[in-house]
Amino acid sequence: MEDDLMALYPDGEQDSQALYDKIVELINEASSLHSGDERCANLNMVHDLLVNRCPQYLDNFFDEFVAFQTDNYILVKKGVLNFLEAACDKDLEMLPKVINHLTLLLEDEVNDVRKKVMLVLPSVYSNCLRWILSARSISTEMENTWQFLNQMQRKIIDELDSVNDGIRTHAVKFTEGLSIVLSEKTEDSILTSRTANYTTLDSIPNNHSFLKWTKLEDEGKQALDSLLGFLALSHISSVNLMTCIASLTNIARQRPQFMDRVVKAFEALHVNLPPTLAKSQVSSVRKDLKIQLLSLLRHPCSIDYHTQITTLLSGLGATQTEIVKNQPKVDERRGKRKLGDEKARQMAIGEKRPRLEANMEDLSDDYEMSGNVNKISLGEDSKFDAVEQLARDLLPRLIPQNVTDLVLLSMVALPDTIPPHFQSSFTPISAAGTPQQIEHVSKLLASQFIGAGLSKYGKVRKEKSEEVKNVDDQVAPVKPATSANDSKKPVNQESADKSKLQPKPPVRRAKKFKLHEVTVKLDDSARDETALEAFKRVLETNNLEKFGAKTAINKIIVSLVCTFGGSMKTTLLDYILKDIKQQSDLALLWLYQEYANFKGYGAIKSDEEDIETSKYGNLLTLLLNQLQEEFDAGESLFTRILLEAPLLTNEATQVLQRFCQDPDRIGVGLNTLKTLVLYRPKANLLHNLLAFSMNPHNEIRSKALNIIKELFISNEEFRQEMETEALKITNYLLDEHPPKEVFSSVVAYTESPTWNEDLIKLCLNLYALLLPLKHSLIHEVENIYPKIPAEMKRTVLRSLEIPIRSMGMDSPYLLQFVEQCPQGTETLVTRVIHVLTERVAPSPALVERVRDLYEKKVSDVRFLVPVLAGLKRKEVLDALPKFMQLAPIVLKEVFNRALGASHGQTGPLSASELLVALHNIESSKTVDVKIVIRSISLLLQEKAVCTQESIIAALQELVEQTPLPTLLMRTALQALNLHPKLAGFTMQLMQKLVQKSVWKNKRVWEGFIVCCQRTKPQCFGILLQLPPPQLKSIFEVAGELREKLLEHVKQFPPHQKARIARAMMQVLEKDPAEEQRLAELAKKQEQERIAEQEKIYQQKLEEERRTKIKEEEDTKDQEDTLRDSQTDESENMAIKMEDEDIKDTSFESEASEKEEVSAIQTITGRN
Amino acid sequence: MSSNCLRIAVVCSSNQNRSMEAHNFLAKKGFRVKSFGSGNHVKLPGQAADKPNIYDFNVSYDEIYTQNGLLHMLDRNRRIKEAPERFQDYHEKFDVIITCEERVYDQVVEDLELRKERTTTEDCVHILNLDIQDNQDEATIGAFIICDLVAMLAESDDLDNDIDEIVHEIEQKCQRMFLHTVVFY
Repeated sequence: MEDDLMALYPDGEQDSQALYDKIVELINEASSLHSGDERCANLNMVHDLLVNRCPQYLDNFFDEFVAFQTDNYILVKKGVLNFLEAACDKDLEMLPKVINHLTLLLEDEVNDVRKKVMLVLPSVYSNCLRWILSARSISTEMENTWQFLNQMQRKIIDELDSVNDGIRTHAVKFTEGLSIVLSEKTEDSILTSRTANYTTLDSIPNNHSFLKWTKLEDEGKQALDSLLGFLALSHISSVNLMTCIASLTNIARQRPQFMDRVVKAFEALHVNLPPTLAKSQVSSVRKDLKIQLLSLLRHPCSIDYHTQITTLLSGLGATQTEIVKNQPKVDERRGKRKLGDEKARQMAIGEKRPRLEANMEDLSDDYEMSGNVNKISLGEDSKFDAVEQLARDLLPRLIPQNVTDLVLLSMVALPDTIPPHFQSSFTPISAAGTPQQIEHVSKLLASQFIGAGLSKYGKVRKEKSEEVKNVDDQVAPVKPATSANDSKKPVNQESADKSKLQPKPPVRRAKKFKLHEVTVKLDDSARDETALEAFKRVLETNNLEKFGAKTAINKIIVSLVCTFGGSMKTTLLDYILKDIKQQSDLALLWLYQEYANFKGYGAIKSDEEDIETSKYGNLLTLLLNQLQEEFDAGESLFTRILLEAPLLTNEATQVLQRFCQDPDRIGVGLNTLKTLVLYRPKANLLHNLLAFSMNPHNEIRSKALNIIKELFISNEEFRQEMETEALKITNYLLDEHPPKEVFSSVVAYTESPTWNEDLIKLCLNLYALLLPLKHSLIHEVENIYPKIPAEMKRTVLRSLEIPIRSMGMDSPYLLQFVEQCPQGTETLVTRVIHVLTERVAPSPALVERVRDLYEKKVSDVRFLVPVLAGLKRKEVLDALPKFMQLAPIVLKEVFNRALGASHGQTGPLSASELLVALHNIESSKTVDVKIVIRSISLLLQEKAVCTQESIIAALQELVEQTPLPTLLMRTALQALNLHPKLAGFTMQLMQKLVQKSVWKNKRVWEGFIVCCQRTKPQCFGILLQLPPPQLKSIFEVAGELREKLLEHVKQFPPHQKARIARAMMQVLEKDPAEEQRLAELAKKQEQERIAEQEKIYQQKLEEERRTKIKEEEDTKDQEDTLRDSQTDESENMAIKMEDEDIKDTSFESEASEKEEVSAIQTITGRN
Repeated sequence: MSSNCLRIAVVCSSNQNRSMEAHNFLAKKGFRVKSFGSGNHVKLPGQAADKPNIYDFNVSYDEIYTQNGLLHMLDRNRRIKEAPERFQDYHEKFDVIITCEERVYDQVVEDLELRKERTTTEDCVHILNLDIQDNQDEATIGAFIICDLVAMLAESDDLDNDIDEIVHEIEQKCQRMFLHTVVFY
């Protein structure tokens, strides 16, 4: 190709313009060519022209050329890389560009490109050194480029561990190059055409400002060390091994100062080939090693190692002729001079290379010394030293006697036939019996011992590197150990020795372990089953494990389940459920693992998006559901999982919700919920807890309410939400139909449900609970109460009783509420006041508010009833007429309260005062007399408050009044009926009346007569004191009295009879005849009247009878009502009042009630 | 590396029989193949390695040619390329070099080792050896094996990584031993 160009452009140098055009043409053509090979050819020509003919155009065409790196033909890419390498060699200023491109190409997805980068990089590296050294000052560009280069360097050295065999091979090659660049040339270096031009470590001045000599030298040594380490790997592949051997040989040839280490490494390799090599690979490797050793042998500096190399070579089957042929033809003198020079040189630069010095000493020193040195030397070195020490121990023992014994003993262990590979690799020992051969055998034996771990040396080394002890202590036991071994060990070892004398390739067809080759593909079910069995065994291990490893095992279990799921999941679940107490940690770990996977914290990132439906969510639900079924044992873990799970899903919350509703486990569920509310505020479970206040199940609800109360008191932060929720629930009452929320799982939700008492109560529970804790909530009811229908109001009232009672009458909010009495809440306010004063006397504050309310806003006397005990006497008396118009039971309550009977205290009034007041009201004519009568009889019936004494006191006061109260005698009679013992007092009373000419007052007189009829015979004395006309008028009404009185008088002793006035006697005696006559007359008249007016009177009589019956019924009804209401009087009263308020159509037909209605209507009308 | 990309050399001693047989096969399959000899002279194969082409007189030409298949061989070679080539004299680069005899393998490796001291660009080459006796039948069998081997190599996406496995596989399959090494040159 070059010749072609020469032919085409013989005057190329002169005619650079023509060359320029040619390059343009070639590049253009290359981009349009289809065949990769043709492109390659074109580019090769361009490469040649640019690099060799006219480097002045390098810069012009650089980018165009490099653009071919995107070509999909691998050879073109490689061509670009070759160009990059050559370009920077020609023109150092190209380096930044080149290195940028290389950095990118090192990341290329095509392995071959990356490999090629590794191959060109050492040369680029060396050019980079040259570039930096040539610069006067270090530019930023240089620093950056150097940095990039170093990054690549580190990256490639890391690739020594790559999984790709080819990449490793090329990384070895790069490391070789690096090691050569970063070490010093010597005059014995045999350089290749590539490395000859390298700028290497020796070009760098010690004090260069940017390139640090020692650091670079160190890197170079590290490169070599890593190659030596790589060579010693037991699992190295054959290609890697051969590359490494070749690389080390290259290094040794170009850097003879490392010859020693390389030869030692080869010796070690020779006796311990990696066991993974196949038979043919062993042959290849041995052949390779032989070739490389021969190449080393040719090197003049190998003269010191000829013994070792020759022994190795003969071991590898090289013939004597071959060896001799490859020995360098240097005369003794020159060799000596060289060595001398080398020593002198080393002396000169000794400070620079302490490591090398140490190694040299290492060779010659005895092993006590080398032990010290080795502490600082590398791993493989210490192994060599151990071998060498042991070999030195063995050497003097290899006397004919011993060797004969060894051979004889080992005969027993020899196989019957010669193994084929032994035969193939065996070469007759040419130099048997020579000191060199014996030394070699001792080395072989030693490395076998070390390899089998039978020597103390290897171990001693190890210990030494770990803990530095006195060297003498360490050495002392070595010798007896080896001598003791002498008698026994060789027997076991000999067979190995014999076969290993000529290191044989392993019999076993050992090869790189690849899982997919040794495994058979199972069908799915078998695979799953096997996996499951394996998993079960892991679980069993977990059972046995009592100590530290439990966590680790748990982790493994959980990772397995999370990764593979399926039946493992159910197995693990069963496993956990079987022993919940022990495995709770496992369960949680599992949850956390799933959560981590969901979140992508771990290695596995699930692509699920919704936590609810994720594996985590499902697992949480599943666990909770399962635990819920396990009673005692499950509960604690159930709670724990809810508390400790990384996140609670809605589903989990619902499980808890169901759990709480399980009537058998109310306590556990709700307590868990409570703890969750407290410790997992983010889960927002308070709402769920509050919802339980509407639970229809009594026990659950009351438990929930207790918890809510506890939380409300103890945790301020919940209060706001609780209040809001309470109000929200309470506000449901305003809806036409109960909302869905009210219905729990127990009560089925129907399409358009209706409110019933139970539902209303449920809605009020929470509010009622919080009310005593937060009094201001009472004001919230203002918004609801007026708007709800009557039945609901009744339930509301009943529900609020208890909380209001516990709020007490001192609550300022309650007082305020009473005082304000918002529109529509009158009944509620009344109820409140009632409830407050039910058990205790009203406080002055309350009385004050109620009075204000009564006076200023709603002048409904019913407000006053509860606080009567706190009112002043006058106030009571003023309001009395209004009270009297209330229903009998209310009135009775009024009496009780006014008299202070409710609270065992004295009220503003005494019974007698009240009685008097009642009579006086009649007198004032402000109230219908019937009502007064009813009131009085009610009062009298209250025997507890209205005692005989108070009646007496009242009657005595009344009888003194003038005019006499109309109802006086009526009251007296009633009192007498109720209290028969009052007969005596009645006599006194009648006496007084007689004195006050009772007959003048018609009504009282009538009463007086009735009273006389009742109290005979005691009243006879009184009757006799009456003036005769009056007495007569009595007899006219009550004839039977006359006879009785007459009889009575007749029995008087004479002197007494005498004192009866004549007129009186006449009245007494005259009567019978007249009576008889009158009776007859009446009889006649009656007969006549009957005859005449039969029909007319018939009707009249009928009418009369009917009225009478009705009256009787009335009184009877009245009595019944009274008796009934005794039990829950206050309640009934409230309800009735309310009924009136809402103008219930089903109103009672009782006359008294009607009257009350009208009274109230007037009240409200007034408002 | 795609199959048409792989640069293959087959080397035997004289570039007459074994390498040419393989060359023939591979070329027919469309591989990029070249063949070489590595010895100092071109020898025609005889009944044994040390008895090249010794015939009694009076053996008819027909017999000599046809019995030994020499005529056929030479005819074949003539169709493939113009002249036998010596490996050491040729400087193009290959990806895979297949030798047909251990001695040839050694020579090739030795040559490459020398070459690498002169090279300006480094590349990696795999050298594989299959021992083939130098007669017509063995050459054919050998060519089949080489053909199989190359086909497998060409199929690989990452030759450097897979070659160990492939060699192992082919060794198992045909019960022959291969030598294998890598040289950068």
